[in-house]
Order: sequence, then structure tokens, then C-alpha cells
Amino acid sequence: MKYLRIITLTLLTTLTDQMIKAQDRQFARTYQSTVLPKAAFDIEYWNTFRTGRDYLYNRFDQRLEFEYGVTDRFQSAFYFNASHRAAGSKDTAFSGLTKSSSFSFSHEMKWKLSDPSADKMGFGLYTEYTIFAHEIELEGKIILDKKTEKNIFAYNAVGEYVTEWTVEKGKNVVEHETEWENDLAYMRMFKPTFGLGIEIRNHNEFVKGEWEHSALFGGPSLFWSTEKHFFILNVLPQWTNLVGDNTPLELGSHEKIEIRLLVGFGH
Amino acid sequence: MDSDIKHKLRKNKAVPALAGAAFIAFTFWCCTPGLMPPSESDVASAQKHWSDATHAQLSEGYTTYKNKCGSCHYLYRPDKFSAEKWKHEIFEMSSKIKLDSTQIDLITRYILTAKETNSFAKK
Repeated sequence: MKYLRIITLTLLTTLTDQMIKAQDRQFARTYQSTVLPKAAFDIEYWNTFRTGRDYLYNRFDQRLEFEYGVTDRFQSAFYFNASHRAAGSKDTAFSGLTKSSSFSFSHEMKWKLSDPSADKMGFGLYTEYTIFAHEIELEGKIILDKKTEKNIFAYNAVGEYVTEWTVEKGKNVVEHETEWENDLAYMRMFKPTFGLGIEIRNHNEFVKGEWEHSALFGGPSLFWSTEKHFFILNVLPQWTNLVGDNTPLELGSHEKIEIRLLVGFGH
Repeated sequence: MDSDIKHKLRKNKAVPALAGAAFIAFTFWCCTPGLMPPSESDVASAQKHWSDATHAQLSEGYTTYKNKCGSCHYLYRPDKFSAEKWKHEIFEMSSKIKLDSTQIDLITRYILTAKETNSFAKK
């Protein structure tokens, strides 16, 4: 394990020293249409902490992303994902915590079709697939954004299709889920290297044709970049559930709050 | 959509708030001028400084500026800085994204010509 870490660190240091460095984002969750220039490279380290359901529930997700500009209008990225959970239960007969970890791999592709500064509106298309041991996720985004000297707006329409394999009473079962998300973000750039903004996320889940929930989140985002790094911090409390049952928040598959810290190497 | 869901959506004030924010954002997007590509009429201005300047060169300078600089930061309008400041900034930034001398020259020609003719502004 020690040798693996040393090799990885050496490889990363070599790559980041030799390649063109750039970065394409100011938001933690909402994507922008910009892509890395051809041959530019960046590494992003994502940390997302979620907490608070109907019972004790903590989840910590980490993603390591390697992003590369294939052409000046197309970029590709690979992610290694890890997710760790500790959960209690509403069941009064239950004691203790259930702890679990899962690992997955993702691949994304993003196309810039128009530029958010030069054109009237930035327009981009994004696809990503993620492979778990028990699940495959396919995601597509339509990205609209606008960048002026001091302001950045972005909107994403996100569709996701999930196929999950599970076992029920000894029988293999395949489940399908469709998810739809609207992400809206605004940031005021006080300096080219520092901005403060807000991100709003509306997540909808459909199972067997039924609209299960529509959770609405919103919270502040901070962007700060230095010569070689950038940091994005977002705190995202859940505001309400727009279509669920009578409970004010959707706490069956979402949490009361999510916090994301993204550290980028490459600017 | 069943009537129960419609009722819940109507009751929730967050929906119109979200829709309003989206509308303001959309209006802002559409009203803000972009950065226009160079036109044939810019070539004569460019040739005062670079006798071999062509429309194809200026267009390539525009595309290079848009693609190489725009991924990391806002594309500053050509009238934002003085000619000297632009030359300095382009040179400084070129090492970060490893622009070669041809690309530096193309961007410089486009920026300084657009600054002089004001052709970058929305038409």
C-alpha cells in the first residue's frame, strides 16, 4: 500500500508539472459549458459530507478526477469514487450502526458548443457513466451559462437513469430508477480569483412511473483560486420537498444538509 | 400528473421563487453582448500594423483567444486594457497555458485590431 501511494504521488507530481494546467469551473455542483483547452490537464479532489435523515445517517463521498482537454471544444475525465456510510434505523428493535463502503469508476465527456463569454449564451452537452459492483448509472446534462466580467450564471437540466441489481428473498431482481435534476447557480466574482455565490438544486426521482419526491436544496458557494490550486466550498441545506408526502423534507433518500469541498490542482 | 401533486406544487412558494430566479437569469444571459468575430473591414486596420495581416489570421486569433483563455476566466473585452497592458498580459498568460509564438501573435493581432476598430462589440 505504501509503495502504491508513493508511485501515485510521483506520477501525479510528474504529470502536473509537465502538462498544461487549467480549470473550467467555479461551482461545486452546477456545471459550466467551458472546457479545458487542448492538452490541458487538471486534477480535482472532491469531498462531500451528507448528514441527517429520519435517523442517524452520515455519508462521506470522495472522488478523484483526472480531467483532460482532448480538443479546444471537447474534454474527457475519469473518476475514482469512494463512498462511506454509517446509518442507524427508525426500527426500535435495532441497535448499533450499519457501516458500509462502496467504490466505483466514472467517465465523463463534455462538449462546448458555444462560449459563455464570447457568445450570447454558453451551451454545452455532458454525459457520464458510473459503474459500481451492483449498479450502473447513466447521466446526461444540458448546460446553459453566461459569464460576464463580474457575474456567472449557470443552469443544468440533468437526466439520470439507474439500473440496480439486488436480491429479494433469494431471487435476483433488477430495479430501474429515473432521476431528473434542475441546477441553478449564480456567482459574483469580486476578483478574478475570488467569488461568492449561491447554488440551487432540485432533485426529482421517479420509480415505476411514480414521482417519488422533488427535493429542493440551496446554499452558498465560495470560489478561491491561487497560482496552482483552486478551492470550491458549498453548503447545501435541504429547503423542502415539493411533491412528497406531508413531511416538510425528503429524508428517505436525501439528507438535511450536504457540504462539498472541491480542491483542484492545475490552475 | 395527479391532482394531489398539482395541489402540493401550488401550495409551495418555492416553485414560483425558483421560476422567477430562472427568468431573471435567462433575461440577463440574452441581453449581455458577446464578443463578435472580426469582419473583413477590420483587415485594413490590422494591415496598418502588420502588413501581412489577413481576415483568416484575425479569425484564428479570435478563436484562439476564445478557446485558450475562456476556459479559465472571463474573456476581457479588447477595450478593457491599453495596448501595452494587453501585450504584457498575453505574454504573462502564455506561459501558463503554453501558447506558442504563433498563437501569441494571432491573439495579439486580433485583440489590438478589435480594440482599434471596436468590432468586438455586438452588432
